[in-house]
Amino acid sequence: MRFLKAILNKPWDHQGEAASAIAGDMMSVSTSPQQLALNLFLAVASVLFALFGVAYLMRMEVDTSSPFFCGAGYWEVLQEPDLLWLNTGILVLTSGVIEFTKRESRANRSLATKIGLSVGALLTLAFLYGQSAAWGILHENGHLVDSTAASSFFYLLTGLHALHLIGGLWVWLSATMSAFLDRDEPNKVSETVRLCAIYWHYLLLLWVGLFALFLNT
Amino acid sequence: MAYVPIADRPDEMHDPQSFITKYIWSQDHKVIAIQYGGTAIAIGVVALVLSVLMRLQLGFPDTFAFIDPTDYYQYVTMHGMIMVVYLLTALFLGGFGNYLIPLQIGARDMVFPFLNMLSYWFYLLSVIILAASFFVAGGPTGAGWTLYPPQAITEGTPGAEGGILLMLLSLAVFVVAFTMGGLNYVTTVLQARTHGMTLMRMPLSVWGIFVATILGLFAFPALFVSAVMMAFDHLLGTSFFMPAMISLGESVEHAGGSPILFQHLFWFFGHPEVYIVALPAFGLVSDVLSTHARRNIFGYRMMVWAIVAIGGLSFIVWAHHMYVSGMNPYFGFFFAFTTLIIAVPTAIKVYNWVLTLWKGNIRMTVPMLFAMGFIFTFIHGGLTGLFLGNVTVDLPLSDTYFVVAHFHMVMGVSPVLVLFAAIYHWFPKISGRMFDEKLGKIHFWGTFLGTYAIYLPMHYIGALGVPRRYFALGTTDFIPESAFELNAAITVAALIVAAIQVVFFINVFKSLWKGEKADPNPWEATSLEWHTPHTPPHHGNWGPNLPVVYRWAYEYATPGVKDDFVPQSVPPGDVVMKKKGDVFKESEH
Ligand code: HEM
Ligand SMILES: [Cu+2]
Repeated sequence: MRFLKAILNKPWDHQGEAASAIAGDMMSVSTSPQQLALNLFLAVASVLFALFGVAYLMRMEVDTSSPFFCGAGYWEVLQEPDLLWLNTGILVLTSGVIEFTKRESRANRSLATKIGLSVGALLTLAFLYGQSAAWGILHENGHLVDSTAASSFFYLLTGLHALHLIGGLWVWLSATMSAFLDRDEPNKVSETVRLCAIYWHYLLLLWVGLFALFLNT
Repeated sequence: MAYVPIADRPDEMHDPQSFITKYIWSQDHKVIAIQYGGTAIAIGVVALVLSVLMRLQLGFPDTFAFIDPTDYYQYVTMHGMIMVVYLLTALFLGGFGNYLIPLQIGARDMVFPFLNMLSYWFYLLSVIILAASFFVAGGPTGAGWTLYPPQAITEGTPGAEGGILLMLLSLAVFVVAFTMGGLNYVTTVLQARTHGMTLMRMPLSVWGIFVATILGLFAFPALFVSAVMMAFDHLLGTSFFMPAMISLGESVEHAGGSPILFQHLFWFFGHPEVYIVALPAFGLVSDVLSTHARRNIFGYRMMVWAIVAIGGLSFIVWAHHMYVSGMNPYFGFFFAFTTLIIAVPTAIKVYNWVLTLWKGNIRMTVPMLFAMGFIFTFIHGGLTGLFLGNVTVDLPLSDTYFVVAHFHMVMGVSPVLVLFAAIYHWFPKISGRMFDEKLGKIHFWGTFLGTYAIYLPMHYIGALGVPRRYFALGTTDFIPESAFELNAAITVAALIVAAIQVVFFINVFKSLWKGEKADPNPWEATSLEWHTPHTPPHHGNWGPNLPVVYRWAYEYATPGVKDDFVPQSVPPGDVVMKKKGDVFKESEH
């Protein structure tokens, strides 16, 4: 609550503590700007997905007693493919590998870092492939994007989640490139990996939330 | 030591050299600000022309054969959306946010200059996509700026094929652009302040822009969600928002979607959007008022708190736009309650502006005129907002010209007056030239009196029950003949106001071309941007050393001090005090 304390300051008071503040209340000592921007971005993404979640729940409640209700369009439960469990497992594993990479790169162990970076990228790709395979299964079973509201949401939300992951992968791969080409300072790579780790863990949590929503509705 | 991203740099700075890197692919916040501002004003002129066309039709129905109902709806929609999103939001945050944040907090640039540049180019892309919709088959969407489904994507609505899709795409791109810019503004304010620039020493401009940016970061996702889901309904045949219905004699392929869900999402964005525009305006106008009244801003802390409180509250009032949607009355009660609560911090701000003027040494400069004009129009629009915030009063007034008059006063005219105040105020710093005072005053009086001539009568027309978004009124019993005459008069006023804006552009171009060279600090202001080593500031803003801040930005007419202002960066030891026996003399200007 440093923020609250900061805005209690009386800037016009020439005698008080405000007058002596030269280095002042720089709020930045502990976090890098990249870290702060990432935190903010995660907050924005959370709002985005929370709004989708609210829309999902509101769309479930079709008022079948309404005089306008015409017998169609009410909520039909979607049977999600079991493959999603495997995908979830892969994503958990990915998070683990990325955590491992983070530690190794911080300890400056170059070989282990490179292995971690590569395996992390491959596992992420495997997850994405698994998600698209789940789409294929749904498609084969006749659950198209416009079949029911549940299937529409499923394609939309898994797609958006995958897009977020692809965005992260882009950063991850650039760090991988630098590590292999020895382009950047090792601690720059390790900083990127550290931020990626936060992002991947976040996307794992997000996926678990989405999956729980899908399974229960 | 605190982290300062681009700290003191006594060595030679690597300035971009070529024309392209300096003015086009520039990562300098000042250039990006001007790019943002220029683009926003250019598309804003389109919106202005559209409003003139609408007024022609409304004032003189059956006269202009080239405007048919389809055109009219397209004008209404594009006018509203451009004004709110592509002009005001972009100009306040992308324009003034970019220009002022680093300069007023003493940074060399934004923390992520590359992202900043990207933000502008995405914004430009969104504007181009939007403008492209004028040229696709069927034209731009005519769904109203609220884009309510089902009609927005149902055959029969203008632009229901291509136009609406381009609108949705453009909005989605805009949200991406805004998010890139917004992450930058917030991070820069929190982390790149110079030595001594505590949060509570920041000028209110930065506070307004800062909190508005946070609102934007959390409100724009709702617009993104609604745009994506509507695009799905339209392109892929899903039924998120589309109910089963009969359209043109055939039942549509959708079933079960909820149009009300869209309204909730849209207004969860739409109401904070009002404050995304208003908070920067509040901030900028506070600084202009204080500087030209030679008085410290009254109740600085309260002003900051009010900005923060309004920002928070603005997320829990959205459904006051939906009183007529058939919502639960308890729901309506809740939203009326929160709406009236938000009036409290807003009123505090108004009192503080007026009290800042009290006993001030007011200099009637052009920016000051616009800033004082804002106080009038904002009070005016705010008061009618209290009417509309009450469910029972809103029900009969909803969708009449009373609403049009209200929101134009409060979020059309008022922010635009602040924009002009800000443009005139910072023009000498941005361009290094003075503008023409006389032309500026003509511009002010024409705009200020003209907008009153437009919108005051509109309240009356609305109270008569004249509905908004109508191409023509036809013959009805409840609309007297006099209302038609009034409509013609409003149109004449609107034409005059539109024409007066030409004076502004003449002034800008004339001054850029051969204006008098500006003093680095023509208004004798205290904040950092007026004390750069160069005017306009060079790349990196501060030369080798960052400024050090010793006080807040409102040290005007301090008792015992010789000059009537003390800049933020002057060390306490260098402040010249009045000698005993000095006769107190108001500084003349
Ligand atoms: C000279 C200045 C302006 C004039 C003459 C003007 C005129 C109009 C007119 C005639 C309408 C259509 C009303 C209807 O049929 O319902 C309208 C709608 C609107 N205007 Fe303006 N306007 C001006 C400036 C602005 C500004 C600066 C804003 C910025 C907030 C703005 C925002 C809107 C909005 C949001 C709508 C509603 C669009 C809709 O119903 O979908 N206008 N304006
Ligand atoms: Cu509102």
